[in-house]
Amino acid sequence: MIKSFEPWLYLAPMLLFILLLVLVPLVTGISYAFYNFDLISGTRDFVGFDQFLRILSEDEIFLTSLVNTLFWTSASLFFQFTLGLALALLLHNGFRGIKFIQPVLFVPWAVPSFLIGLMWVWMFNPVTGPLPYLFEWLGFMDIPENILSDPDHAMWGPITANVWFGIPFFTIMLLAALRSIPKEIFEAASMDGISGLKAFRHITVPLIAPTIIITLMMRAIWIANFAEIIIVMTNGGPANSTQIVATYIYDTAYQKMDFGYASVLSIALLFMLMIYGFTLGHIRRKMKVYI
Amino acid sequence: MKILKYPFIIGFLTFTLFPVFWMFKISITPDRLLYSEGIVAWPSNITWDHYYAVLVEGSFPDYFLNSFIVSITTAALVTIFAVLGGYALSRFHFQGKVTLLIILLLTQMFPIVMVIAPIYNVLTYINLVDSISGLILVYTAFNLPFACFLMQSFYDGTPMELEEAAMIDGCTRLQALEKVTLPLCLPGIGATLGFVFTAAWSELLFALMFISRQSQMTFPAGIMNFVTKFSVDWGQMAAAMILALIPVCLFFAYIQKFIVQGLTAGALKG
Amino acid sequence: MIRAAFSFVIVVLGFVAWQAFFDDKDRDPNNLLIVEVNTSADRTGLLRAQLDRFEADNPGLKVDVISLSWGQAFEKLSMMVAGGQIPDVIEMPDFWLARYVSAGQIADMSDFVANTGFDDDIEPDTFKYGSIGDKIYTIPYGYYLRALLYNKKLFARAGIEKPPLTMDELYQTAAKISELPGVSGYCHHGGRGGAVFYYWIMTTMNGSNAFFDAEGNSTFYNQGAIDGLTLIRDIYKNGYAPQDSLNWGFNETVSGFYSETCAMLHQTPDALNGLRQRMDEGDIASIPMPLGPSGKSFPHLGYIGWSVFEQSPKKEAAFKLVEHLLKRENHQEWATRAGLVPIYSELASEIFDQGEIGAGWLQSTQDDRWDYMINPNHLSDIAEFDSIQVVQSGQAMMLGEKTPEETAKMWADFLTASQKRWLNNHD
Repeated sequence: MIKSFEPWLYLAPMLLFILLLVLVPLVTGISYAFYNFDLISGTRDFVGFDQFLRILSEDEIFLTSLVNTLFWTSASLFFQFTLGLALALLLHNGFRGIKFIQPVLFVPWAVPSFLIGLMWVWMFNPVTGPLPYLFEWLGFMDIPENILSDPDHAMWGPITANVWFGIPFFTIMLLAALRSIPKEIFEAASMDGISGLKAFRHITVPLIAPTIIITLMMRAIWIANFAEIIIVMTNGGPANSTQIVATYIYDTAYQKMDFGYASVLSIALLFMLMIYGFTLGHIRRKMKVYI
Repeated sequence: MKILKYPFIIGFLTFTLFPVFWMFKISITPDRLLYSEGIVAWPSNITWDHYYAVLVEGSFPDYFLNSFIVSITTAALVTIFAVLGGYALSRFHFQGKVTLLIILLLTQMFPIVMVIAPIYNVLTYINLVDSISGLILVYTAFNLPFACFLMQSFYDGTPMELEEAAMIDGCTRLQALEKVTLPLCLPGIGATLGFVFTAAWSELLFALMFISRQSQMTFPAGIMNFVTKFSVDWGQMAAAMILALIPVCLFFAYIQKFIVQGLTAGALKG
Repeated sequence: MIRAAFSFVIVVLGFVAWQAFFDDKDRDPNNLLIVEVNTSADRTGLLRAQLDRFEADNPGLKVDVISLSWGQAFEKLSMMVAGGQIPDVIEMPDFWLARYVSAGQIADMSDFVANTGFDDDIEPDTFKYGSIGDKIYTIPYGYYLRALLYNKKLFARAGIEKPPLTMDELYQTAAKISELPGVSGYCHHGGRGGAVFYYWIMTTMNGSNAFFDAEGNSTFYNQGAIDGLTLIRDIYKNGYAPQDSLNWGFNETVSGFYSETCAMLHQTPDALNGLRQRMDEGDIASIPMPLGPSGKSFPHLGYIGWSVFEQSPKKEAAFKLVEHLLKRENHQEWATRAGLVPIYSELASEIFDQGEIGAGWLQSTQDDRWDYMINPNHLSDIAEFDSIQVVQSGQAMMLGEKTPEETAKMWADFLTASQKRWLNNHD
């Protein structure tokens, strides 16, 4: 009997916080979906599932934003992860001057997201930033222009900013995971003739796999919900080409003051992320690793 | 492979630092030249006025102090609770565990925009809206799930046998955790601290919505003051941003040693 | 370690409890609370000075200020109100009014206005602008009038002798300036906040500043409106506005102007503060907005006013405060600083720059060819229409995804539906 509530003791402080400050507001937020909710007057009319039907039948912007969200999330995630992993491996390997360079590489993660947006807006603007000239030199453009006004390519602006921002996250997490692998394992393996790339594939990757899964899962979920950079850089434009579900929710909630519908959109997003999360969680459970 | 190492490092450094350099350049460019010399590498005329304005004329030192207090407190609180919570998730199988994990995951998937109003009401109820305490509580709550998962991963990568050995030797579980397991998980603790500190340091939306008083304002919300209806004071904004990077870099430099420290040899043999 | 952690947590909880129980938020609930939303550092100082004078004149009354920064003011204020923190006096932009009034949050000031004396030269429509239906809900503290700023230096360089008076001249001037390398003719406001330009060009080409006919049909169905959209679409399409301006918000248009990326700017006088700091004053001049085919033009007139919250327990004192802020001396100080068209018409010439910089606005207030155009602020969904739909569909039109005709019709459909709903509810 004692054993079965021991874990809850450890979890208690944490759960208290989360219950009061996250779960209760979350349930409240979700409940908005069933109401026609006017924040300013505080009135709400129960409308049941009407608003859910709206999403499916009338909302073109929602579909566009869905597609954009997929593109935004996968592109950002791919580049952040691969570059972050590469950097973590480089740091793990060590090199001269690493002590000074390492903190510097984590700087992007420390910049508030809207400042990142503003910063990169400057960089992409031909009047104030060097990037359009770089693109011209590389042959991507005929004349230096701002890709943020080009509906076909605007999304790459926020993606670049997001990648710049997110690499340190993967770097730190993966580096810590790499550092936690006991050196003895590699020594033992090399005595058996396994080293280099083989060791990486068969020893390193499985051992840091739990961290990889967790970081991929969380970061993807955060990116999908990450509206700030896009709002600051393009505000969903031009013509909804960079509108993702999260920015659409922001507009619906704060520009239209339609919290009810915004909640419905949030639930839709939640649903999709849940599927993603469960898939990854399933994979992770199959990989529980003991030494 | 080794030959590529240094070009890669330099490439990363350039990519990471170039935008920061650009911001620094903006922060020392006089207003008049901001656009006319937009794309030069270095302005023809340098000014430190923006930094002066931010540090002396504005309330930025107060904002920084508030941000620092909030960030450090949140980081410490979250780490403490996550060390405990993550341990439970890693070492125990118990009824309701899966449900708990699902709920924790769920908390990350909802856009913050939707919960701001309900949380505002909760905080108003306990008179903590417009206070840094309110921010601390909220930031702690929102960072806990991830920190917990993180610590859980690190615990999962640390063998249970060590604690069990210690407990056989007469330690309580808590003592075993403290004396045996945690030292091995220092990289994880360091990562958690660093991560939560930065998340709290750069958080904007809650700070903006909950805080109105200058005395409680954190620096991201303070920076938004530079954006009025009429103009964006780019020079000062850039200066504030550069200044804000310094504490974070220092913090990271400090906890670097935790992250770098690996498992000590002999643990398995002991 | 465990002990240290435990003590730390206790200390933090102690601090939190202290703030929860003892922190009075630097505010005395007995004081009046005024919320400003169009905040800028020096204006807050001016407001505080005027409030101090009020406190001196009215012993026993004290006023606290909350300054919200403009970008999030709407959201923050709604949350404050929803959370039960009701201000007494609020700075109310024209396009917010309908939302708050339809939610029953704003006090009816009609009686207060009837019992208070305002100077004789108060602009006659002042109270009408601040009314919805027959009730007065806000009193404007000044008007934001649009005129066309232009860069004299660039005009000279392009060989343009006089600034454009008509729409055709606007188009040709923009074209000519765009021949200069690296410069475009017109600073287009394609992002949020740019709707008023479209409204201006559509109503002016229509020859009337009315948004609706008597039945509630939008005037944007008319050919004039379509022609107006076609004109600006062509300006953008032919490269006479910077390609980037598709996304430009207020700040970008202003910075586009002072960085000499574009030469003409549709703006209110408050932009001058920022411009003067960053440009040579000698290069700046203004003219009224160009005339349409009917020989008239309808520059947009916006306003921000002072309102009192319905739930305020201190309405009498709040009305007094509003009256104080609108008293002639205070008003003049306020309007001068912000470059607003004053509500007392005799002050206009004192406030606007003599000389070329202020000429555009001054002439617009005095010359009969220019009549004001006011947004249909009584429609509660106008704010959302302005900031989302017009922006997005405007951009789609600029990019060629939709024709001006389709765009005008889309807007007309929305506005007509909204207006008819309003007429239904108010007859």
